[in-house]
Amino acid sequence: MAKESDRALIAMEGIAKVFQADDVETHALLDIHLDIAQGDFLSIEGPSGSGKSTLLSIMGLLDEATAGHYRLSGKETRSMSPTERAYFRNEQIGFVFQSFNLIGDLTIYENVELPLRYRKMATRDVRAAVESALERVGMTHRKNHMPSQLSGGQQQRVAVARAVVGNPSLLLADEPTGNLDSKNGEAVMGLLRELHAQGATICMVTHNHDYTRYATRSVHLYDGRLAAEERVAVA
Amino acid sequence: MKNLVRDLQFGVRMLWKGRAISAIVVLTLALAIGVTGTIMGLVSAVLVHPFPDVKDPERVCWFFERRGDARQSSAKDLGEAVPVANYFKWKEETTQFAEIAALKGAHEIVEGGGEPERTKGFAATSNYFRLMGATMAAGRDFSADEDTPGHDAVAILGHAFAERRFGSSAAAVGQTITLQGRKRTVIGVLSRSFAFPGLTDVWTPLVFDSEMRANRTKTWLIVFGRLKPGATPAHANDEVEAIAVPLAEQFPDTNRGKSAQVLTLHEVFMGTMSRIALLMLLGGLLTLVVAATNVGSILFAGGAARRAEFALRTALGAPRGRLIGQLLAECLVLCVAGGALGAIVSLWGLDLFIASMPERVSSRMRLFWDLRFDASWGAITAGLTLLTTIVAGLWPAWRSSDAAVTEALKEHDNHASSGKGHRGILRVLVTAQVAIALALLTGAVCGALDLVENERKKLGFEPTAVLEAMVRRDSEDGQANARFFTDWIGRLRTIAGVSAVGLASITPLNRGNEQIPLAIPGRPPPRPGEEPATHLTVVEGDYFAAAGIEVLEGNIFTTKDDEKAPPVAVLSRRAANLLFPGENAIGKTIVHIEQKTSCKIIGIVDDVAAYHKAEIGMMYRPFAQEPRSEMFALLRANDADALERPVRDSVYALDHSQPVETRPLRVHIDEFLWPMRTTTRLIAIPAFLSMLLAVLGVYGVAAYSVTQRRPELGIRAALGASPRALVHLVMREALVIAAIGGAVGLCLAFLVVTALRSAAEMQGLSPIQTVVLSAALVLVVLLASYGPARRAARASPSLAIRS
Repeated sequence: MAKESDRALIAMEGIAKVFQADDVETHALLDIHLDIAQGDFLSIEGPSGSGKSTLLSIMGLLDEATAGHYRLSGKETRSMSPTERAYFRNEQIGFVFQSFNLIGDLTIYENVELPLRYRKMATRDVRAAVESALERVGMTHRKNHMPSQLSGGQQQRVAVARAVVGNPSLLLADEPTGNLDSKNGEAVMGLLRELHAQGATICMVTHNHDYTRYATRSVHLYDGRLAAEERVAVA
Repeated sequence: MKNLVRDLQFGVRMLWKGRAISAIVVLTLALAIGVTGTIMGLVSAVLVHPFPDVKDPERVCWFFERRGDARQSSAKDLGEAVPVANYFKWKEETTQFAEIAALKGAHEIVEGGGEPERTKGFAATSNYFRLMGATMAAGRDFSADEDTPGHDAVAILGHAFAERRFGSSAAAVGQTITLQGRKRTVIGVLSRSFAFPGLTDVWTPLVFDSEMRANRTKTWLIVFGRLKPGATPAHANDEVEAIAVPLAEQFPDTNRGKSAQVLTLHEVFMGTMSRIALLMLLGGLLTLVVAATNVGSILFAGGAARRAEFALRTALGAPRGRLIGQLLAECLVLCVAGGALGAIVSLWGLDLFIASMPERVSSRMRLFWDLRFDASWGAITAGLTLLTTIVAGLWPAWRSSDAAVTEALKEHDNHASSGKGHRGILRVLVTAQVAIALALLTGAVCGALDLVENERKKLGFEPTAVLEAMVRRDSEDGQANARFFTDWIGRLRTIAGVSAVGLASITPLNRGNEQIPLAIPGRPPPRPGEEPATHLTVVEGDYFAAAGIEVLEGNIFTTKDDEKAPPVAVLSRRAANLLFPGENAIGKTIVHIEQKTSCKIIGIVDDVAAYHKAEIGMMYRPFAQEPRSEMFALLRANDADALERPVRDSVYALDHSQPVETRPLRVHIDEFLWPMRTTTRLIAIPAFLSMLLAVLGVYGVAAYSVTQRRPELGIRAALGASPRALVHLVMREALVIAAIGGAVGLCLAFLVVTALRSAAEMQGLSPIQTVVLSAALVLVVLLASYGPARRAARASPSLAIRS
């Protein structure tokens, strides 16, 4: 009989991350064991410097763990080449960043289209997917604008559209409301809840405890260790 | 002042902080200023200060006479020597000249001081130095009566000869010198710089007897005239042409079909040189433009990176003037360092240029052009570079000190990859560099191909392992001279190690070929001036074997072809084809019109390379049938250089007072190829420097782009861009630069090739060669961007989280 971790979308065992700067070692993560099942909405909380973003980077294959095992969709990630990791990120993971990270020289449409351009998709399919993603976040009418012409809330909605345009199995959000006012923050969280309701697996880093109510699970990180986990009643 | 000192201190500190970039900027400036300064020095010598020894050289004209219509002849084809009678006619009848003077070659033997030495000398009319505006280092000029019989036992020495012979100029004046057995008193020594129209040891008065005055056949004299105030070369030419017309009627035997022409010194010497010099100047200036845009790009990129710093300073209350002053100080430090190094490179470049000249070319060139670093052109070069550097360096400060302070401070907030405007300006600058580099490179490749073609061109003779020795007999006794040369070749044959020895009146690629008009029996007589012609070489012994000229058909001369035997001739292949197109020339007869001698053609030999592309071919005649008083011996041996002593001894054994000049035959090849080599080098150096700078520019833009786009590259990587996709992203930018720069460069290259064809008679590039060159440039540009592109591929996707 298969273990529960074998069936999880994300399975982390003993993950550690050490940063080396000159002679100083900084232990960002220590012995992290964490499973995320398909359909979960996990919130990772913790104070600044607790290792939240580092954990998210490892989950999103943006960075590699110093020790431990990390399986994504059942595949061990340690042995992946940079190209394989890029392929996996493109196919399986969508990102929403705190600072939106839209490319200033591309239009809204082109920003959302970007992940699909790294797949060999037919232009017609790309157009349909982008239109659909923009429609989901209510930004179709601004598709020909440049990022600098949008408000912060609008930029983050575009970032969400870009994250979901490729139908990833996992959506990672790093402080998605960190640069937004409360009204726009609630709007973006509402968007994530909608996506979750439609079946998306979401892992969100936040230091705003109020937003954990949108998640189904919440874990707390302190000094690089998982300190506690709680099930959250969905608001 | 306090601010300036502080700005300079801070500027030096900032430049030291980025010392790698500062070193590149200084080096770029130094190379560009150095190369351009060298070229400008050369161009200035050729175009701005030609004939430094001659006063107002644009007012000095050279008289020529030649067969046919003078208006249709080019300067290089004109006969520079004229009969004495013409000189006197011009002196009497022209009204446009304040002074007319004449020279005659007088290479007399100077006695004493070891081995006999033949001087390089001229006999000149007493007004020659006055006409030229020459000055004396010591002593005096000829007086008016010293070119009359009985008063001419005087001499003026060239500066170098006086120092070599007497220790100093002053010591030479008043001394007695024995020339050709005649004692002369040294009355003056010319200034060090004067050596027109050639490096000269001794000047003696030119005295005409009554027989010489009437002579219309011997072309002895070189005649110069100085225009009167208000007279023009065109008027003077019309007048001289008009004088020639009645002469043709009065003296049909000697003057029929002849015309006269005057040309300014500039027209005589610098037609082609001026065009080549202008092309080089253009190449130098384009290099400067490339270097300036390169430095500008680097400073611009550096300034753009410091935009936030300038904006912060502005926000803190710094006035625009202070920011500009600060950057100006940095630019000044760079330019002073680059300019100083550039001046050194330029001086070194001129020395190198002079050192690269074969000895005889060097002495010839330095007579006419004062080759030295020109400080005023150096200052112009440095000024242009400084201006560009300052404009490029100050632009970011200007931008940062305007109203967009807040924008500059917030520039990187929330979305990646701003700075597209800066990159756009850099791309334009680098694209211009690529275009100019391709144009210059095309010119350089044209020159190189032309040079290779000339170096590979079949010389028709084998110049290695051959010693040349020249003997000029002064005796008027033709039989005695003939005996001398016959005895001499006999002695040369006995020298150990010599495999072949021959004599010739002129050797291959040696200037001074005789050109003779011919008639071919059975054909209608040509009109005067339109006779077929060949060059003439009189040979003796195993000349063809010694020179390495292949015998193609028939026979060559033997000892049986003496003065009593029927006249015979051997033709070069080109001469045979021109005189007898489609026929076998062997057995045919040609008539030497001036000597009225019919010669039977007995053989055909290979062509030898010549200076003029439109070569008319060569006729060879045996020495016994057409003796000369000046002959060159060619000796082929494994160690030809070691033959110099025995060759000299062989001459002295026959006549201890007979001078002999020796040198390796290969020297002619160096002299022949030197102009092509020099032109190619002077185009190639700026071209490759431009290419290097353009490649550095592309690298710089790519590197700057990667640095500026790091957050964007991180985001793209996070979204799934593979390393290869990121490499392509960066290289695509370089490809666009290469494509646009290449297209514009090809248009410029077309202009360069057209100019080179017209100025230097160079061949252009074939379409395939053009495509290959352009492809090579694109490849180099792509390679230049590959390093930064690889760095882009290593962009960490985690930057997306950290940004």
